Amino acid sequence: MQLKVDRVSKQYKNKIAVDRVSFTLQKGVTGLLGANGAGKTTLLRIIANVLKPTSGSVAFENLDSQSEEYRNYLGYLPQDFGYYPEFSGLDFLMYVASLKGIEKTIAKRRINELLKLVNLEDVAKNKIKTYSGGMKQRLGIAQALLNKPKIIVLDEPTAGLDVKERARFRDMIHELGKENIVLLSTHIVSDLEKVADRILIMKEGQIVYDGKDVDGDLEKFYLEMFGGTKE
Amino acid sequence: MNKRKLKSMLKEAFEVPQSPNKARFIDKIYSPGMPLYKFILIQAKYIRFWVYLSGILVLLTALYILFGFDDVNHLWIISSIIPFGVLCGINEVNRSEKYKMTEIELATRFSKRMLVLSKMFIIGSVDFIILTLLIPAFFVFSKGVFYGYYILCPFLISSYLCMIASRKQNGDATSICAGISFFVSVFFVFIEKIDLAGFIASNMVLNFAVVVLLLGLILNECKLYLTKVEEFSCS
Repeated sequence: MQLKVDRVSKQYKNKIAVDRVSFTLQKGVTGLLGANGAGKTTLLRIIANVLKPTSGSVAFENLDSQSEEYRNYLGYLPQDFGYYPEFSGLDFLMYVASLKGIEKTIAKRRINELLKLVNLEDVAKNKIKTYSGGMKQRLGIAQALLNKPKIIVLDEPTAGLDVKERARFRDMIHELGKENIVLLSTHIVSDLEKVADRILIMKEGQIVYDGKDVDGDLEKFYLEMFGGTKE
Repeated sequence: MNKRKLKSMLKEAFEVPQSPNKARFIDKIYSPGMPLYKFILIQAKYIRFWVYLSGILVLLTALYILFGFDDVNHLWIISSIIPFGVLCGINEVNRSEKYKMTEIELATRFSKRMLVLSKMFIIGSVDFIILTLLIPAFFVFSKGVFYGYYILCPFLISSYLCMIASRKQNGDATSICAGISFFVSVFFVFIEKIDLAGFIASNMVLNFAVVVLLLGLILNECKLYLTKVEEFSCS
């Protein structure tokens, strides 16, 4: 099982957001690090079929990222997402399940499992507008996992989560990474230290680091690379 | 301990734990993907009620004007309310942008293109039924005044202009479409007042040519619009 990103570029008028990026991902958790504007979100959007690359391709097991089959294997959590105001958490998940082509009976069962997993069972029937930031984020994580995806793309998944929720989320990611390809971007280095099997660091649209071992001190390494200090 | 809590504790205590093999077995069962017709039917449920209601209101108002006033001079009222019915439909099709649902919808199996297409199909079908129901009413009432001018022209012009605005605008185009609907509505009132409407409406060939031209433009715009929604636009 592998996801191949092959010489992917994305250009907006005069700005190159992603510049000939290539890598192959296998089962496990891969963390994507980089400063704001490094091109992380653009790259994740291309992998999630939200943006089309200017050049290059993304494929999972020879399935092109523009295909319906590819999207069938995909779970995506955007950095910033909304919801229709009349939706409860349950309605939202049923709606996304319908877009993912999941039959109603299967969707209901899966939604119950996921609501338990993200600890939103008790508030599932409440309107989303009554949810806190962390609850909305957990709902976003649940929708990404609805179709039991093989490729899980998460853009800043821990944003808005408190310390306890982040720890719980890390465990969940660790479990998901055993059987799936998980790619998550964050600027919180400590989120990755414990769970990531591989780290990619982006700078100015390019991958400037691709590896597993950074002497056990990822944060220090990252800050040194971007000209800062740990303290 | 209250009754509810007791019930939930009892339920938990008597619930048979799922074996991991059962979950694995269920996962292995082949489940065919949702067919397209089912997807479209499900999406009909997610279109807000007032979108259907606006169509019914346009139909009822048109029938009331046709038979209640029994006067050709009031037909312009029908032309001037139709753009607002169109506005409801267009806003529903463009709803994802307003509520930041686009990214999630694009990354799903059916994708945004199919979602937009299914919404267009559902709303278009409702509009088609309403417009079709008005044909016999017009024949009974109008005594030779062609139906196309008062019904189809405002419908097609509003739809066409709103679709262009939605495509050109990155993000929510609600206010622009509202402006367009208002403009088309006023436009039809204006040409009625300067006595141009009577000439256009009674000229069958001109009417037919305008309707065919607008239909062609709309089909082309649909194609461009569907290409646009295949990709996320940063607003």
